[in-house]
Amino acid sequence: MRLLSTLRRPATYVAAAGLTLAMVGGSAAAHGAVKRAIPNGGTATVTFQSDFNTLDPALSTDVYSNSVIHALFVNLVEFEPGGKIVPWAASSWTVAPNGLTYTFHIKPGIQFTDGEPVNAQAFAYGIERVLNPATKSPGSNYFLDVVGAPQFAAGKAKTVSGISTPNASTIVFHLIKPERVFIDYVGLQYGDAVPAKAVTKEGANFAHQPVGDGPFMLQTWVPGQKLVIVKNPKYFDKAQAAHLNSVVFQIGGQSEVSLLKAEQGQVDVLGDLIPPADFASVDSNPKWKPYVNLDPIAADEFIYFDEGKAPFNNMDVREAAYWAIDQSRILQLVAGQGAPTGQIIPPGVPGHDSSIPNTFKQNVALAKQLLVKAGYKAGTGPAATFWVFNTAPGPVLAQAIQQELDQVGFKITIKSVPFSTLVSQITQIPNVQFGIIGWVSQYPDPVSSISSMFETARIKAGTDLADYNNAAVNAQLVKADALAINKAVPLYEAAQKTILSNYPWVPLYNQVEANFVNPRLGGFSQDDSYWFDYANWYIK
Amino acid sequence: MALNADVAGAQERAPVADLEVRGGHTPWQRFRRSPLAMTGLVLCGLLILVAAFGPFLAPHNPYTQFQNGLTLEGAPVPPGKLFPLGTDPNGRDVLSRLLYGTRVSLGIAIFANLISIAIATVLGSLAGYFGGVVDTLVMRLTDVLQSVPVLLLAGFAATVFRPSITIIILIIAFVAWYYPARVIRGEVLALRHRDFVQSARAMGASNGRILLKHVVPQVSGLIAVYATLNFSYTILFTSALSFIGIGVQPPTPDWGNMIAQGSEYMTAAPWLMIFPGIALGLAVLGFNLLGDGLRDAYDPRSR
Repeated sequence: MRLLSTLRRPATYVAAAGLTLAMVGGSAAAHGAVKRAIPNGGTATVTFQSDFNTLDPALSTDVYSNSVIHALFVNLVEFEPGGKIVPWAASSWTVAPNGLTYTFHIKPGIQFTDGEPVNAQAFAYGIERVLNPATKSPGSNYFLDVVGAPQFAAGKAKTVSGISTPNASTIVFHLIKPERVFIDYVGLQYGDAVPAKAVTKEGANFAHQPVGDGPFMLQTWVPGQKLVIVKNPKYFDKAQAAHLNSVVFQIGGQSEVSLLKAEQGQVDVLGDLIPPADFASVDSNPKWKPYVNLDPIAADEFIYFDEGKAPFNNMDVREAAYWAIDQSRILQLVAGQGAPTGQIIPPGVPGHDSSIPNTFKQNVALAKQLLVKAGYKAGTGPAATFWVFNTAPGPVLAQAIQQELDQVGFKITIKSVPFSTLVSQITQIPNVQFGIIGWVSQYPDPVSSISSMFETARIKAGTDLADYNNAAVNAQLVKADALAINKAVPLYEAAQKTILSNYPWVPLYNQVEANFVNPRLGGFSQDDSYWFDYANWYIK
Repeated sequence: MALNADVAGAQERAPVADLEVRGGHTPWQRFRRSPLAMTGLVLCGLLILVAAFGPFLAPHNPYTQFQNGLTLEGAPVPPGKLFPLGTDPNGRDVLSRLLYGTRVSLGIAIFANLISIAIATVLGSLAGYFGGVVDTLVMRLTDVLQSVPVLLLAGFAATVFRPSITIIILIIAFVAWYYPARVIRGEVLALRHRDFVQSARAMGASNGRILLKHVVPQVSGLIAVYATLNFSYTILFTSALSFIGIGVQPPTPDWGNMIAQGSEYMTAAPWLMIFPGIALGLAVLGFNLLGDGLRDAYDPRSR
């Protein structure tokens, strides 16, 4: 049904006592807030070790690509830090009392950079494109509750009957059933309007040569090296336009070199956060105090097993792997940064269950017993390939996990790949046996934290990384997705307990982002919805 | 018939002592007189000893990730009593990994070197001896292959085949034969017109026999020299492959991947890069000195 995906690389975090989802991220200047005279001009530089996956809103699942897409494209609504939803391209919207009809009124005069109008038809086109099976969008499940969408997605209809555009500035969505988070979906990358002419002309290349309508536009993208976005002079909202002239992304440098550059003032923001190897020394150095920003976010780091293929289709094998893991060692390896967790829903998101213990103790004997129960000779186990992203702390965590599993009899091979490769591999179902990844809840709703990863329909969409397929749990989650949040929470809590008892994951920790930001840069914040909001940045 | 055979036999045996008499001393004596050459010999000898016996000297298992191998904040431990060269980011003993890694790195480099020298000898001898079409084909092939950036070629091969130790050895062997092949070809070309080859040919010896029994033994000294010199190339290339992640895979220790991991900790834990770096430097230095010494010992005219 819905898919909320934001895959991220883990980073190092400071153990924040009492981690709450206080998404009051720093000095975020939200759209709509009263602004003092903020200086315009200048260029900010951000470093990233891995390249962006795609700039096509219909195809993106990772937070980094999403952050640039948010700068290039406009939604009907957007999120403020804290998760509140405010108008953006829409001047207002209404929801029918039965929750089945959403009517958006679109501001006039918005244009794409190629001159095409951003109107009701453009939003209808963008959302239909996400539903279109030919696009192969990982977000295709998001809008399946719109009337006519299932038929359209199955190829049985030419358009989505539930999306209507009575005139150029009005778009109406009719839903099959009430969906609490429909408005959130409209605000995600999959809800972006895209220019039909440019998309048709560019085809698959649109992901590298996007044409948008946002506060920035793409100037250059040299894959693996550099990406530059510049202020869009045609952006429709002069009051909310970008302040910077451009943002330059330096791609591919080693993280330690990027840190040195940042310390010397040559780059403004470390996109991959403070390298784990250097966090202790940077954090304890008073010189860097104005640079270090600690931002709590609603995210999990976990090991996932593909239950659809051997050897992890056997629950005893999964449980054996679970007990072989030393969670305290993992936390030690990420330099003690990150709060341990024993569940799927992060703190601060409704449905987080404080009765579930956050830590578990390694139990090698039990792990070995379970492997024997699964049919392996005592002391032996299956061979499997563990997928990990190749930037810190991935390889270090992978080697620790490999040793912990080999100790009980598994024979683990590590496959270490760039993050963008990992994202495409793990969202294509048959390719991965198990691995480690992080998942950000793009908005504070359990649909984002749990439904999007454990409902059966998400397998096809690629974000049910565990290939988890339990009819009873699925029914529970789907039912809860339609209810008001206070009625839904008990259902989510029950579903989560069942899921955890099946061992599709080994939950490890929740993250706090350790950012390194040059104090000359104002407007910096980090949030779950857009990651970095480049339009807010300015040079002091 | 019998008379002719005897004469042919006498002719065939003649030239072998040529080089040894030149200069009036044996090659070993010339070699021994050079302090640099002896240094090279000692270094290489030490490295080979470490490769052979190092694992028995290692204080710990190189794969064990120790609980106390990391500080409370999860950082690697600097050199100290328990871990003489410190620990790596997974809490493993660097000294033990270095000792085991020497075997891995040297082993790969030696095997790759042997295979590449074999290829170089075959191709170089054929090209130099037959000349003409064969020479042109082989040399143009060498030119084309030499113009391909080796890391790119290796990277491509590593994605096509899963990187196992065997594949790594073959990849390195495949890119390390160009220069020795040229040198051997040059020497064989010069030998082709020498008397002993002409007479053997006149006696009706087949090309194969001439190559195997006359030509190759004559260049064997040269082959030994360039095998040694080429070794520094193969060891560096092994480490380069591991450094960029397509060589020896962790957790198996190897100088290249230890240096790669250490590069992330350049400022926070410099011992991770320093010790494997020193080992690599000593290996390259040792084999270069040894190779230079051998070259001077066999043929002091080429100095």
